[in-house]
Amino acid sequence: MKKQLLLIIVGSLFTFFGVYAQKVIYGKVIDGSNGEPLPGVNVLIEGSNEGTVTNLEGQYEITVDGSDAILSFSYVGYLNEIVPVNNQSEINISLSPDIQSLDEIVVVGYGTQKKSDLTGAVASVNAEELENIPAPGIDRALQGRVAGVTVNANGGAPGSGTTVRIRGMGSIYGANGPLYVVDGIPLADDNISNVVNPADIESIEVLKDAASAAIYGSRGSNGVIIITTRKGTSQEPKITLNAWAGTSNPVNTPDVANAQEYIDLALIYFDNTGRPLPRNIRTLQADSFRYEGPGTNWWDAVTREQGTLQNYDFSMTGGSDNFTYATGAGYYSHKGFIKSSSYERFNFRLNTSYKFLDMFTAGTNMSFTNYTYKGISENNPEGGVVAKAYQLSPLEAVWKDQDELIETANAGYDTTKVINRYAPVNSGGNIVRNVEQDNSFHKENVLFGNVFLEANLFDHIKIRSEYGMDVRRRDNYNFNPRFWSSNVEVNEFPTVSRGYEFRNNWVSNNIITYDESFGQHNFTLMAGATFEEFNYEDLFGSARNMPSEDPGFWYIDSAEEIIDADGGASESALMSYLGRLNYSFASKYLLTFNIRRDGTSKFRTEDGRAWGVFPSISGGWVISKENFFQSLNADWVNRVKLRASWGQVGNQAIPNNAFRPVLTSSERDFYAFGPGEIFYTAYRPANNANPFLHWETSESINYGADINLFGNRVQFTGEYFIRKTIDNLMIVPLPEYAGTPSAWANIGEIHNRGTELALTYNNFDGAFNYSIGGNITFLTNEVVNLGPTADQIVGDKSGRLGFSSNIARNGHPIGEFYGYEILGVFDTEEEIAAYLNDGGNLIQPEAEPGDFQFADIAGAPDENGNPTGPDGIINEFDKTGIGSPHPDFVYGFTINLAYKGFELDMFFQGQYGNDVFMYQKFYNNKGYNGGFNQISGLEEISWTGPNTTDKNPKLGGNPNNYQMSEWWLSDGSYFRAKNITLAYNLPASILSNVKLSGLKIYVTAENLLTLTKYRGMDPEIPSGYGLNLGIDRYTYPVARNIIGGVKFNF
Amino acid sequence: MKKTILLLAISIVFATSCSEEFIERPLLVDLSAENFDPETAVTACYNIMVNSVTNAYPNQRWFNWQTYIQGDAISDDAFKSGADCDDAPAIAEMERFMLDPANVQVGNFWRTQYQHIYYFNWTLAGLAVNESIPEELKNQYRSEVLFLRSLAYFWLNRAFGGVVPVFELVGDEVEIKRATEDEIWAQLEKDLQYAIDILPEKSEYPLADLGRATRGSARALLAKIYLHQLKYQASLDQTQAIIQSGEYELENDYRNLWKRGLPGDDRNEHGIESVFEITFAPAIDERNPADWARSQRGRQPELGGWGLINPTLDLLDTYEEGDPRIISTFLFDGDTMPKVDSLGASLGITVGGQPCNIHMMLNYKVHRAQNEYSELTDNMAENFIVIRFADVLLMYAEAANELGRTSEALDKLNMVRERARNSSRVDPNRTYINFNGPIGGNYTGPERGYLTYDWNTVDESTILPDITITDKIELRHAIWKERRTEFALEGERFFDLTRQTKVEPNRVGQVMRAFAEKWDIDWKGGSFKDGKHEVFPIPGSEIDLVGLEFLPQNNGY
Repeated sequence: MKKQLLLIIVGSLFTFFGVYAQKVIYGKVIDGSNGEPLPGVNVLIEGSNEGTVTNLEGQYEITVDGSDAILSFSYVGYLNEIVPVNNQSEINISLSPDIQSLDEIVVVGYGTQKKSDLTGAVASVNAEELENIPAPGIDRALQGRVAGVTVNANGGAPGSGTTVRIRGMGSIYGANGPLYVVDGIPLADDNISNVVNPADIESIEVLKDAASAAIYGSRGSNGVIIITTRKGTSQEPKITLNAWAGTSNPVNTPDVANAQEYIDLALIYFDNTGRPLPRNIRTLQADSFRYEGPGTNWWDAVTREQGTLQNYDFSMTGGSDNFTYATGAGYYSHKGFIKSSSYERFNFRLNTSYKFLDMFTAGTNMSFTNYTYKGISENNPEGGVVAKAYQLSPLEAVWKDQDELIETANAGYDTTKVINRYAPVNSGGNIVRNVEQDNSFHKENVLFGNVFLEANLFDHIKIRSEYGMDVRRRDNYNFNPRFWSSNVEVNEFPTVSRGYEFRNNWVSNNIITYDESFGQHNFTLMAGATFEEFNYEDLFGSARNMPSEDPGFWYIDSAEEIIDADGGASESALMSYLGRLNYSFASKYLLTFNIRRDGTSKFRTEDGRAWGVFPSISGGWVISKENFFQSLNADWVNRVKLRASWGQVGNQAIPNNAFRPVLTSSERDFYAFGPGEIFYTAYRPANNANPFLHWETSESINYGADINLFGNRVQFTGEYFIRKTIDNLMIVPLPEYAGTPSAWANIGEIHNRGTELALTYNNFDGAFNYSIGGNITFLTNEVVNLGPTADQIVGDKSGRLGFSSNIARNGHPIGEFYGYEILGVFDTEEEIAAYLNDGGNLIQPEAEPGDFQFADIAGAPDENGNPTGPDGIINEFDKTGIGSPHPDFVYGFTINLAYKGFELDMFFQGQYGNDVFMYQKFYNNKGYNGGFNQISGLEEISWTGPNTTDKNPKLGGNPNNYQMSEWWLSDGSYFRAKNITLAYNLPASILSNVKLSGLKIYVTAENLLTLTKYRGMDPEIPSGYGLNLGIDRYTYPVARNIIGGVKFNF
Repeated sequence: MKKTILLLAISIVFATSCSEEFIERPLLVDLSAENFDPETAVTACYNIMVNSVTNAYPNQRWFNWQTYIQGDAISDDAFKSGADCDDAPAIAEMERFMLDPANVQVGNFWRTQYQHIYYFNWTLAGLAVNESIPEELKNQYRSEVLFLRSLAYFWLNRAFGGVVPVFELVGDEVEIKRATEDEIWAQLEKDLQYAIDILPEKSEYPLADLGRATRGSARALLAKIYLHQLKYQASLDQTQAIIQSGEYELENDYRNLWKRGLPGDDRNEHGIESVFEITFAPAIDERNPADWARSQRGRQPELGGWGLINPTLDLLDTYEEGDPRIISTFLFDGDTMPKVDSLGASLGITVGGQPCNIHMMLNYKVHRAQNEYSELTDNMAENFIVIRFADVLLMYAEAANELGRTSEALDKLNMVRERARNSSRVDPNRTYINFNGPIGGNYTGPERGYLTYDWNTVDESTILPDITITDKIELRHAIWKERRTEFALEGERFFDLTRQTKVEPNRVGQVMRAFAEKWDIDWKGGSFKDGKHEVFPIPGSEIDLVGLEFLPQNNGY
């Protein structure tokens, strides 16, 4: 207390201040790899607690006791240097980057650990690695970067999130996304980009195995992503300004038929079916169905010339001995390439830490985000803008002709208003008008962060109590103007609706940690309790007929007539007791033991079902430290560590009231009896409750090895894991004739097994520095058991399809595609007649030329329920697994090159072996009855006679052709140049004249190149839930962004 | 001091945490199931038919009425039509008899009816254990729900020919073997017999409770079920009891049947001919739109509809010359209706421009409210009459004829014809009827006018003379023809034909193929296959789930 101040700064900066003086040493520390000065290097007198840090120019000055003093220079990410002072008074040092900084501290749940002591599967990503990725959220930046983590963009719409899966899917219906924990506070949802600005991030840790995630027990069953934001340091303010901007354009555009191709196709269809031609084609008859010009290209009509991106970040860190701060502000804006879609975000952050009375530290980590999201309808096959861009007829016009304008004026609508000039379009309206008149958007304010108090007692005990909040208020706006497009596309009254959603989540963490060492034995004991509370409330109202359509009147009070008012609320809570023991002996034998007891409001408390206990244990063995290993004299092997872990984590992510029966009455639960129509109130069952619900358990075993070779230049990490989800919380699969709402139950078991490999090679020695790294994840997912009543669960019927495309069944992956195999298309009656079973009977007696030939695979099970062989009939028994929505493997690799001030970072990413269900085909064939446009290329779309195509049936043929079969699937593998950045750092010599410590200019190309066989616009499609996986429903396609930026450091 | 700090610290960690109350959270907004209330539960059973307020499909109320659409759209009475020719492709497939087990329309119908049956079973289960109400009231409620459940099963059974017998809440044993058509009928007979004993007659209800199941409605449904099984004596007994009860009469004028009226006006809801009627009442925000009517109205905004169901000329030609029911059944292209705006000014809607309307006609029975409402919205709140007294009379006639009681059959048949004959032949709500003139607009049918004779010069004394046929088969056909015209576009035609197929093999196929040939519309009726298309396919997704051994597919699918 009298002479030393210990300041723990996350990111492991140890700073010591000395006060005894006899000899002054000064010098400069530079980065050996590029000659740039290194600020913030710790300069410490060995054997004492005295030291200093280098300033912005890398200079230091320190007073030592005598000439036999030894100075040590240390800096995170660099190898330490030890220099005897001798008689020198100027000591200049160049530090070499440490490829594997073993003393790096990583953040684990409710504490930190040395990376070298880790026993679980934890991957960490530093801010520097993400620095060159201009992205709205870190989830996108993580794509392909960490083995075992798959990130799928939910399309390219501005502000759209991602689907992140850590080690596969453990659940069919439940949440499969990881838990995000920001500065110790769990996030309410997984849309991280709406809460955390990537520029504020210091480090990211991914807890993959149960042993690591166990400490977040109740919510960690799908892995945990811990985000630590930048904290201040006790030095002069450091200011960073970063600005980038660019363009955002589609990688692909829909390849649809032009007007003439469309007509030719319609003629085939109507010839085949005998139905009357639609009017728009009928009227062309005099011209022998010729059409001048290409017709309307609806994609072009509904897209902007280009989308734009802008981002500006400001951040400042600094502080004094007792007080540190990090603050920042950011602005991000994305106007998508489809009209009207946009996203805009403002962020503010203030992290502070204040040390007082020697033993206490208090502070806050707070952020405020305000974003505005304006979406379009996409990922929606029946009415979405992207879908309609494919489907609308090229014979339809965007704008009204003179006659239609006159008609509009006669109907009493102002034709000088643009809204009244859009042409009427069949099949769901003019999409250009739809997006241009769409005034629906939402704004959200997010206040997120914590206030903490920490006490350090007797050097060994740390007590931390923090109170965190995730408080959100979302405002939903909608305004629908009065317009007239035709007598069926019309809105007589301007209508406004407003909705508020309030979400207040509170968490209190109280943790006590005890550190002790005896000789080579090191212990850390941690115990704590956490409480979380989730509150939600919403309010919605709508009204119509206001005096003006000016935005000033987009309020309920402006309107003449209230239409509706609704509101609801819900709440839930979690509480947990947790404990952890870390033990290491000589940094050679490592052991971690976790235990946690969780209680939730989502299960019954009466009989203890609300509570679950989840233990885990993990161990590590640094084999390279053993004497026998060292006696091998394998100098090229620097470090070998073997790890193993076992653990259990709980999951309770289901609706709040699934365990108790609920009656509900909504605004529609009234019935009028009698001619007087008197309303009687109705109450009906809202759910199908299951009082026996309890915790789902995810159990995982992990084996890992970390190997460093050739002076740590080669680093390898390999992991093998088995993750079993048992007592799976699932919706009981019931036939529709049961008629009940879905019931949740603990049934089933799902296994994920995988191998993760990561390898990097670094060379930071010369003027030309480079590193090459890659990772690959192989994952298999298997449904082991679906409970006592079902051996398979089929997914929901998808919209107009009338069948479900995915299935879960024992021994197969979740969401496997399930349907008929196709042998080809019957060309002639003879081929149909020749398709016989063993008994000489026709297998497809009702087929006609142009219909699919389906494979006869199996018949009805025999009396013992055993499968049988082909039975000569095509029916449900012939359905089989025909594809998987899960890739066999996902991979990513980076190549970073640096020469003098130039840096070239390339990042590639991809997946292999998955299939995608193309909903587009519905409208190309099955749903086609004359109104929808087609993908261009007639010969590929329709069988028109013998030997025309073996891939597609004839248009308008038997609907049996369009049952779930291989025909719907397309290979979803892809390889993508995700991010290529070229940057130039101006040399220090130039910068020092302008008082800058750094200036970087960079250009980035995102999604520059994609290699894929996929037939839709983009193979990267939103994931969907377990029985709805891998379906392309006309997603807003991923964009190609070209960005230029500049970054200043002061 | 140090000890104090340490204790304080430890207490911070644990003191806040002792109580389990922290994770006991109240149910917000909704009620706990302990609050089961018989009255609101039974009301929910009626409402579910109107609003289909289920958790899974909150906004798909229109599914309730697809059975109704199917009955006409796939028959020789009407084309499917819609927003355009490509609207509702699943109904289009049905209309073409290109049905497969994945057909969405069939699947929706199956699911919706079974969701309703769940509510009925849930209410019955709740009533069984409820001790808060008198036994008499409990039996009354039970009977009402049994009637509703029987009606749902009746719709299902005639469409699929044997369905899954879910007559109580499905427990752990979810795999239930499909019952035969006769087994389902047997259960419904039992339930309806029970209800007949308990339920009051229509006149015994106070006015404010009209719309609840009555003894008459239970008898009428039972009579229909008997007729489906060719149990003529039993059917006749039930219809006879209804007639003798004196509870019902035919409306004087056929056109008054669908009169909606303004509150306080001369309204005709739950009128004298109505045996069972489902109420749609106007509510803000379209909380219970009458989708059965809305789906069929013209697509002009003034008509507020989706344009489904366009009658065929074949149906029009079935009517005898001058039959007054024509003007209450058809709306012709070019008709002008005097819609009145909110200030009372006449706007005058000229009917036309319906996309994909092949014979350019609409179902007028769903358009009547427009004439009687001053302010028009999509929700015109037309009640749906499930069974009316004319049906009871014609069921009686059919059963009597089959039993050889010819004069009774003729008597009841002629009652229906007499009412039709005496109905108005003019429509004050349409200022001009185009059906005499040349066909204009987008008409694409045969080169002819709507009517093949001049409506205005028809000798009124020759209209719809009494039938005097005594030959059993001829009279049977006369009764069937009367059913087609009397109940035209009320959703019955296809199911009437499939019922009649049990009397005369392959009748529905013969009718459909004859239609296709006569009008050269092969895609509509030409592909009908006897022995297959009389019933719909069992939804394939259900078979995926429980297997063919429990849920065998219908023949040919």
